Amino acid sequence: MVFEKILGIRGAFATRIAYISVIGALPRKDYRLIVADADGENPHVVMESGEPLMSPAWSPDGQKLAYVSFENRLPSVYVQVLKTGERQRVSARAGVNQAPAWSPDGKKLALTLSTRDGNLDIYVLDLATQALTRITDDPGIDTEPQWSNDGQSLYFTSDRAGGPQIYRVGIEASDKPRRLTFQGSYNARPRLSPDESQLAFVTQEDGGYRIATMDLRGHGEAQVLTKGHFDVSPSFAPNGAEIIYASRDRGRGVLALVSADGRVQERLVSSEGELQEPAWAPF
Amino acid sequence: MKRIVSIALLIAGAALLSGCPKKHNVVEPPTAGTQVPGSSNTTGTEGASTSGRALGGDAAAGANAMTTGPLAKRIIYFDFDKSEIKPEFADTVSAHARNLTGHPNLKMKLEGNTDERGTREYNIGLGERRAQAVRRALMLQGVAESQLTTVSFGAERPAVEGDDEAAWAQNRRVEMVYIQ
Repeated sequence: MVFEKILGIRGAFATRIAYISVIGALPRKDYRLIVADADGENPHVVMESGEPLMSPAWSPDGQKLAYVSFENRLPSVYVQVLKTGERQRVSARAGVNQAPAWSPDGKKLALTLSTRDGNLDIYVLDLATQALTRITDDPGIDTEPQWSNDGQSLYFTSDRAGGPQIYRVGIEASDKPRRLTFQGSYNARPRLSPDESQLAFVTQEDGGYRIATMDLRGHGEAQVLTKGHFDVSPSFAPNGAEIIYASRDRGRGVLALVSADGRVQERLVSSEGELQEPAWAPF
Repeated sequence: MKRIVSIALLIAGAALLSGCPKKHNVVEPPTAGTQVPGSSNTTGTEGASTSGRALGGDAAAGANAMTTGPLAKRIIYFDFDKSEIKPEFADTVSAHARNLTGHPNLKMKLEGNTDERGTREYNIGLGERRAQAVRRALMLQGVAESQLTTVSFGAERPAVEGDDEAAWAQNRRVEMVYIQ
């Protein structure tokens, strides 16, 4: 499978991406977690399933991927070592097990779990001790956690105010979440630039979903970077200069790139399957 | 791992292709031995195991009634961004509530789904919210908590492909699946 570049600007660094490829038609689909070079060359299937795969997340050392698998017809979070293929199921609690995010020291995962009544909240799982710490406790949907670089806070999506918005909370028990997004009725799925100067997220505009960034060091001004109707799942390149995201082109799921300042757009087109949920590996 | 394609899905697929109206009867034939691999080893597993097999034909009283009549309706549809059960589905919920309360050995899995719009993980939350709405409605009518489990697939398992409201309306749903 080869990516074909529309604008022909080659990546200047040798990094990797992970993404989900979905092939086939209902009712039977094939889901693949793929790791490839950042330009799409050399794809390798690291996990394949007849049930959905979601939310690939690179460990900070680039050696492992966490992801969600529905292989038991229930969602569980797995951690897979790329070199050996060894997998460990790290969360298979009753209900929701979703949205894994690695702490900067690689020792913990933030996750979304649910109570019996279906209340989704964010927890932190210590991978060595299996200690589980609850971070949010709100009747709304709290999900899509991402760690701050100092490992002391989590950015996340919550609809506690009615619709999804992005919040930040310290992981100390006493901290109250602080809302970050105020423009528009739908802002979700935060992803941090490597230097934590910018937040990328999905915003609803003109009835569609687009990639936006917010300057975390300024006054929270948001800039919408893309123009599609289904632009979701942003992920920063490790040099912070580009964002890869999922889009749709003539009814098909594709991956696309935009420069972090929004000036350069590039679309990567796959030769087969629906592509979604790209995650750019660290250096 | 193969996923066994049930006859019900093929019928539903054919019905959708032939332009049948939104609500369709999902007939789940008794299928002995439809196995889903259970939760195996490893860290982090807790809580009730909820993976299950489709209901075997001899397994429960009233199995015949489940393939005809109101119990054959197993899907509840929702409006965009909503998890309220619309009045047109009240009878379906009541029929299954009566069936479950009348046969306490029966268990049901409620599968919540959304259309494709929005972010995937937030959609998992919306799907769960819909499944929970049906769960609460059943419990309000006397179904025991122990008979019900929920799972959300969010936008990951659409019933119908398409980037328009006709498809989206078919995907915003909760499927009621009897399990054992």
